[in-house]
Amino acid sequence: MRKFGRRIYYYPCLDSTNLTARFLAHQGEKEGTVVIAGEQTNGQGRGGNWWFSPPGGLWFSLILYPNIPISSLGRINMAAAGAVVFSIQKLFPSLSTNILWPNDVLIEGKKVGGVMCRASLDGKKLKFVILGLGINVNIVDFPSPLGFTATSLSKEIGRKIYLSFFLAHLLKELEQMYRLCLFDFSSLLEMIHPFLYLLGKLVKVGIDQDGISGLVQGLDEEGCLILRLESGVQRKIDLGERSIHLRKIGEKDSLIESGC
Amino acid sequence: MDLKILQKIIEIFEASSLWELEIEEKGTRFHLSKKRGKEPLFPQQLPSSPKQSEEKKVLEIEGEKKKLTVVRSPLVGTVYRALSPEDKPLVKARDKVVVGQTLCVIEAMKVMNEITSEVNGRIKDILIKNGQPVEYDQELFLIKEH
Repeated sequence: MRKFGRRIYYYPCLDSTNLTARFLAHQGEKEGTVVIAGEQTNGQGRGGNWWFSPPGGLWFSLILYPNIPISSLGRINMAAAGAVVFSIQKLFPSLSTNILWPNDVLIEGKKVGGVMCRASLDGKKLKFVILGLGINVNIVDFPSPLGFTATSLSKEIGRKIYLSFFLAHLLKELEQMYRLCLFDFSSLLEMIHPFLYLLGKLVKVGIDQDGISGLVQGLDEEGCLILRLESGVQRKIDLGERSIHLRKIGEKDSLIESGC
Repeated sequence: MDLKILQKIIEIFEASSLWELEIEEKGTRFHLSKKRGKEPLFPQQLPSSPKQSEEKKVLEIEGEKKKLTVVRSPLVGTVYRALSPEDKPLVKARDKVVVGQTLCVIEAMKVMNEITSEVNGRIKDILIKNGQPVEYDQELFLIKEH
């Protein structure tokens, strides 16, 4: 039986859907409950960054109670980013959509959506996870400098899209990917592997001069990025180790770190 | 453990205000306890060498720690004391905290993990800095329970 979207709270305007969903989770709201806002005045990106979320986009949060180790919660990011890619692929097959590992979605190299997981822990016990998604569906104008790095589905296909239509497809994909994330993560990795934006690209990982450069070879069984360094050594990149910036080498070393 | 050192620890323990002390070294555990309501055997100051007073200090700190709740990191990641770079820290030293209150956020694999207080009390000490990498089980906060 499907759980995602069985209960939906819609608000024309919210500070942040994540905060409202978090409040509801604390009240014991069931798994799969969705909180949607027509617009967010204080949408949250990674590290507390502001997420541009005006009317026309799909801004929502899902309440989850995953039964996986805390150290594996990053899987949910990848599952959700994969679900966004597959939804776009199925509805608009002409668009070239990719995952910017681990949690952003790109169309032709421009950001169209992002995913952010917030977990609430009680000691070493997981209380709940709030999965926040932001998809630029019908956004026409982006403030500078976002206009250079972001796009929307309507801009790419040249027409408006019904938000409820896209949401219904996305929730179905999200639930399927979430189940894979819990019970068959290796299949999920196989599915998203061809859509990795950085696959086969030379990247620099790290801060300042301490960074390491290498060719992206794929993901390991836990979803960590595998780099092949110049020396031929393979190196696992785990975002938990430290703050990491990914830079595609060439084209002025463009910063491609995910997040708003 | 060397018997002489153990003897010294017992003497210091008896002279201290501690009621219980547990020491574990190389798989051997020593548990010292006093009967409640009974005055310490040696209430007077022990004639102490510098080394002895150092040992006593360590024991007192350990003893004090026992009365505190230690909040530890449940995972490897980067710790943030505020929800965003512009925000004020979630908690400061001497702040009152309640059960469920968010103390800090640890980012790992781009998941923001909110670490919450399991007790009501007051922040005694903050053992991490904003943006610092943390290891599994690393001590983050000391909370004096109410």
